[in-house]
Amino acid sequence: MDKENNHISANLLQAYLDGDLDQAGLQELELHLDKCLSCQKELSRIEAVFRKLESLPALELEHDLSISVLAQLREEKKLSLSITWTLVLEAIGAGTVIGLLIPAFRATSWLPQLLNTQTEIQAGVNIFLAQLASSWLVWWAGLQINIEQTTKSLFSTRYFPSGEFSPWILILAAVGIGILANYILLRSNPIRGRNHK
Amino acid sequence: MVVSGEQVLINKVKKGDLDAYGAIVQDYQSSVFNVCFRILGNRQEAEDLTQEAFLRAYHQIARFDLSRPFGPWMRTLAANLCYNHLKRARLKRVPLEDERDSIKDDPIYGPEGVLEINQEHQELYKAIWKLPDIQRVALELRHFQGLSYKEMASSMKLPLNTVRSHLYRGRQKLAELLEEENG
Repeated sequence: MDKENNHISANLLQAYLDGDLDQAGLQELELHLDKCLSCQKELSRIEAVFRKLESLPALELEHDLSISVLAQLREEKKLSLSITWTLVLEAIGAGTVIGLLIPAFRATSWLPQLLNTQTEIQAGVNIFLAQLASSWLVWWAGLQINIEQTTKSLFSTRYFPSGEFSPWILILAAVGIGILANYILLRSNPIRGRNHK
Repeated sequence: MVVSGEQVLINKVKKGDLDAYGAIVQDYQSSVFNVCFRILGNRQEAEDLTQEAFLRAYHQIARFDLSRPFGPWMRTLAANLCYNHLKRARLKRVPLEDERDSIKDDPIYGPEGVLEINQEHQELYKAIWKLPDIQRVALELRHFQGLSYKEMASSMKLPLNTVRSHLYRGRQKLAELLEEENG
């Protein structure tokens, strides 16, 4: 048994009150408690804390918060609806412009046909999103570096300090994500080797 | 399987019924407010965080397991929200302690002086608010929410032994503070 000066430690007494002792530990502790007044006193002291906490009454709330909670949720719903509609309208607008531009591109022989197939459009969008995500990571990492540290690291040989968190790791990770995402997307949506007219 | 009234309401909320959520907020707002008040020690802040907790709960309701009671889930969410709020405030060096000190010195605390607490409970509140945040949250989760050590560790995202240690130290410190109060 974990004892301090032949007495039960306060932690063990708390484990006892929490019902966190195994059968053997429980028996040993209760045997000791039976004959040790000092430990009984300490147990009573901790039990008093338990009782006090149990006795703390619940306080009454003075306002009905449901009104403002629901008002905020309704506001959020409205906002989310307006954002959705904005995105839908933007998508329709962009689709119309692309729909008009593609025939225009096709009609002209001197312009390269950049968007020829559905697959290529999809690949282009995917690559753009991947690059956006990785550039956001790089931007975030940039915030972590103050100018002094950046300057120091650029002019020192210790570009990648070890032992502590380095923002360079994040930048490398972002570049890695970008390269990997582009590789995967280009492989699944091949536009390599395209023969422009 | 018997479906309780609460489960019916939560099912409606999961389908986006805001009025059903209003009924749930009304049922639990008082208990959630008490969690926030015990942890934060400031009535206005506790009301704000109670509202925030209900907004979060609404957005996370899809993940709520209907076979479990809503109250403990909601109160644990609120306790975690308060804990994170305190951690963020500490990082930003917001003087929470000073704010609580002024409340602690006010025997009957409340916006209109209506929050009447008897002397014994005032002393207990004062002692609880003097505890370090993490010990106060550990006491809240164990004594008021009845969480097991394992559930506390999962809720506070800390190793089980660390949580147990904070809980034990919190109780010891509370016993000392109450003894000091009683001379």
